[in-house]
Amino acid sequence: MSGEGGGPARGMNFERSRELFERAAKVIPGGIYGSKAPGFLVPGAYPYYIERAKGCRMWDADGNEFIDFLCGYGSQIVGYGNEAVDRPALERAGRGDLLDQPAPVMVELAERLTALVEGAAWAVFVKNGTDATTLAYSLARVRTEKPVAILAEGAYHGAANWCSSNAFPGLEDERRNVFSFPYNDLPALERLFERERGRIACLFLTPYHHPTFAPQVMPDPALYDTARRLCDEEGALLVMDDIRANFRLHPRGSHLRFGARPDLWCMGKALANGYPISALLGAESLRATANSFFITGTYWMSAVPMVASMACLDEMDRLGGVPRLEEMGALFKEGIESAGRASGFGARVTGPAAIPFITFDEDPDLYLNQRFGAAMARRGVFIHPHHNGFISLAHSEDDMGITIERARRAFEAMAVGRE
Amino acid sequence: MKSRLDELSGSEVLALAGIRLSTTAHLVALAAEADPNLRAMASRRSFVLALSAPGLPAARVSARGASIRAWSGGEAVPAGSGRSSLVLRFASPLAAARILGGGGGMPLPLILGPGAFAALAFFREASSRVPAMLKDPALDPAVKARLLTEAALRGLAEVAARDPGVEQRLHHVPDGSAAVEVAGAFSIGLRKAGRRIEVLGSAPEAPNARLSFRDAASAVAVFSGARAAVVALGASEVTVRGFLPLVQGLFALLDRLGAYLAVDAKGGLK
Repeated sequence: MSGEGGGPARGMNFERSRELFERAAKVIPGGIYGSKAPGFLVPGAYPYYIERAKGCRMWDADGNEFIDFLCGYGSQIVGYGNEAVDRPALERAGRGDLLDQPAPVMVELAERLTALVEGAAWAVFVKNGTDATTLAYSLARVRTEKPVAILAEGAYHGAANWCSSNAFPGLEDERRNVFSFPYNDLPALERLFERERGRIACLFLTPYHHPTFAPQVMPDPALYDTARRLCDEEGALLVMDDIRANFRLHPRGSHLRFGARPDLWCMGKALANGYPISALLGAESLRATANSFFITGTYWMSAVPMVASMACLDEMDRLGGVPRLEEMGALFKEGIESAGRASGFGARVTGPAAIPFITFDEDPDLYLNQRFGAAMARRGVFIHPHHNGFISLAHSEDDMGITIERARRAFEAMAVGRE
Repeated sequence: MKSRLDELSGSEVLALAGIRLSTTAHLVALAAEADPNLRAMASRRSFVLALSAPGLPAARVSARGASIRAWSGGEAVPAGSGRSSLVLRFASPLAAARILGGGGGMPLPLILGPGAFAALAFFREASSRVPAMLKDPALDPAVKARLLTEAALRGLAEVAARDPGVEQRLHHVPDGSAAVEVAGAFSIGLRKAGRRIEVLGSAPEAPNARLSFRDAASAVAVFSGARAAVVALGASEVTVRGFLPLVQGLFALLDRLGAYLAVDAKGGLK
């Protein structure tokens, strides 16, 4: 399918994906659960199972090829199957991954991250982003001896009950001390701090706002100064949830892009190019609290992801890092918006250049997102209709050219009602 | 959710009673549209039948010639619909949940005007006919789908309005309107505003989301619980377009409705 500039070389067939899904539905809740459930895409227009991937290309269970703009929900930053990352990781696996005690690489990675991320003095390694954010919340509560966490409305901080929308009967008590404010509404944030005065353990912020099903929003220029002041006055901690954005906005932590001064940093996803590792980093002032905390998980000290992370950090630099991601992201944004305009659609790409989300000014309900996403999937380009995308260092000018040409054809087909 | 009626909290009993009152009223009215015998019974004499229980708005069924309609959950009854001919008064929400759930017992009939006996005869026949229709494998799938969809949406509205357990979940479901479409059969709609869900007799012109079933059989499978909605979505038997959080948020309430409907109406009660 790849190579030419226009539509697919052959029709899409998702037969095997559908067969696997039918089997899965008998033994797995929902067939595929969570954010990868078919219902979160456009069922029937996207593959459900991916067989393999290399660089920025992936092939589904039916052999269909896609240029991927989801990048394993952001985890892939130097490309699938990047040998500079995989070779040392596989070599480490040959010598043992999960051992009785940590491998030396754990010290090296902690030293590297604390040197890299400005303001961080210590690091704890976990698996998923939720591990890191939940640990941050616990640590903040212990440090401040206060219960409340404040979040922005629509912000995603993980799948744990305290921060997810799993507000089922029986679980609501876990959100009893979690309150939210409309993103960038500084007076509302001030009022919330005033209302909960004396009870606030921490304020969680993502570097910029990336809600699902809505355009992305960059921070108000006064947001971080206000957040810092409110936290200092309250004796609360400012937590930067950088899991989705880390290393795509700034090589030393996204807070530096916006002048934020957090106390805790949650990192993950691109940290190891898809190998399972996340991290909680903290300021010197929180070292004693972290020292006193019992932190453990069976797989949290496995060595392979740590080796992969070290290699990934090197490879990001070698491939051009944030400037290169922004260069490719700018091509994507300009190309998609201009292709949309040419066919009469108000396609708008929001968010940082390396983490784009396409919406349509004329359609806040996202019908056009679904049509465009499906039309692009049919043309061999995987753009999530409801979740922001990601640019990787494996995307080239050629990939962008092919993508924009396919977008142009997709918009043309949509304009005449063919798709 | 507890599985026996005597284990439910007071507010859960109220929610279940609301579900039973509302779905019963609307299903007997719909059944009369589909079943010639019921339609004939209802058209012999005009009446307004009210199902009433303390603490809940009455559900009403009006038969006037060929027109059979129902209202519930505090919906505004159009002026000129007439006064109630018969009230079936349940002594308590618990009694309504038990009796309308098949757990035995009788409501108190209050005869208020002409048509009361016609209303009583109609209700007795229709309320036993509805479960039979839903079990009938020979029933037109479009009719069955229509009955089940109505029950689901009316139940959803009651869960949203009364179930204390969904208050926080509802907070995450955006306000807006949705079309529910069953290809080749019918389309209706709903509008959510806060905790209120209004069932619309026809699909809104510009819904924020569309829930579309490939055919009546798919709707029957999902709304009868035989096929999980998420699985039907994956198999493209159902599609959701537009603002997904509106419809997907309501799926969670449907699960809650399923739990209410599975409560054993006889359990633990004498």
